[in-house]
Amino acid sequence: MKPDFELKLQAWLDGELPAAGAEQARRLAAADPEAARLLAELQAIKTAFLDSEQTVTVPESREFYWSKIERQIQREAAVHPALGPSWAERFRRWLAPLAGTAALAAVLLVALNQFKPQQTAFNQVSGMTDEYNPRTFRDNPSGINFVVFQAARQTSAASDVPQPARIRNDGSSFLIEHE
Amino acid sequence: MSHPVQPAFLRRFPALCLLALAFHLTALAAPAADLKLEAKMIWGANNRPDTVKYITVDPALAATLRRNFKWTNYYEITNVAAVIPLHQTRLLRLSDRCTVSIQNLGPSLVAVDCLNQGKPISRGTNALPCIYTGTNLDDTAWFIRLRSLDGKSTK
Repeated sequence: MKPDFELKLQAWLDGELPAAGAEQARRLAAADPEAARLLAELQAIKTAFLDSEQTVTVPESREFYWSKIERQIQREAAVHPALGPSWAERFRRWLAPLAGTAALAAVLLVALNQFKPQQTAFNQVSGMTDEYNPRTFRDNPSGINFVVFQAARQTSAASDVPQPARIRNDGSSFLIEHE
Repeated sequence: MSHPVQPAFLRRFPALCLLALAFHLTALAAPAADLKLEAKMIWGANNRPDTVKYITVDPALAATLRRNFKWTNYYEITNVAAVIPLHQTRLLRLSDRCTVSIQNLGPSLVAVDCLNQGKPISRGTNALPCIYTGTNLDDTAWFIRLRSLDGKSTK
């Protein structure tokens, strides 16, 4: 049996076919034993469904019945208002962006600290008397700042001591060159 | 409203970030602490160590001095340590003639006044570590090495 005919039988049983189509389906089912068996089976299923469906009737009218349900819902909503997020949840919501900001601030502080002018090169000295001329230089390999006092006036006893003729700082080290 | 469950470390991440920031701010505030300063008087000479009653300075410092000055040996004469609160001044007597006045200006920065027999001969501002030096009449030299003992500048 073709599926089209099976569907036609089912439609006829449900009363969905026009009069001409219904007559044709009835004739075919009477002529074809297989179609008659299918029709009987569908009829039995339909009857079984109809018998098992329970119908409940309410004493009130339809409108009054649904309005009762609506009022009940409204009453319960008033008694139990919708609960918002808990205190911890709200705190966490605030804390997350705050922590992000804090992390960003920490990174900025570190960066600013890195680019802060280094004080290690700070080395300024001035003489307070005419006897000494302080001169400064930095020994880059060791990172040590030096202040060299040179006597402005040499005594006769010290005149034999070789004194620095000039100070040379080539960027990597410092040399006192003697005459 | 329900939220997806996050792993424990993600839930604690904001708190950890705040903790890290607090640590960092504390570290930034740390330079305001006291300055632990060491002042060492050193004698530079060509005298052999077995003829001198003083001990030699540590090899790294000796190498630095040798690289910059002509003397071959460097001996420790005095070693003085002091704790100087921020913006305060301490007088450190290193010999009968030499006294230095040190003011703590902040992180590893000091104002140094050198006094020779009580008479100021220089005034300056130096980042630590620094070394003051001058020659003696007998072709030797004196050095005053100032350094912080807080572990940031140990040279």
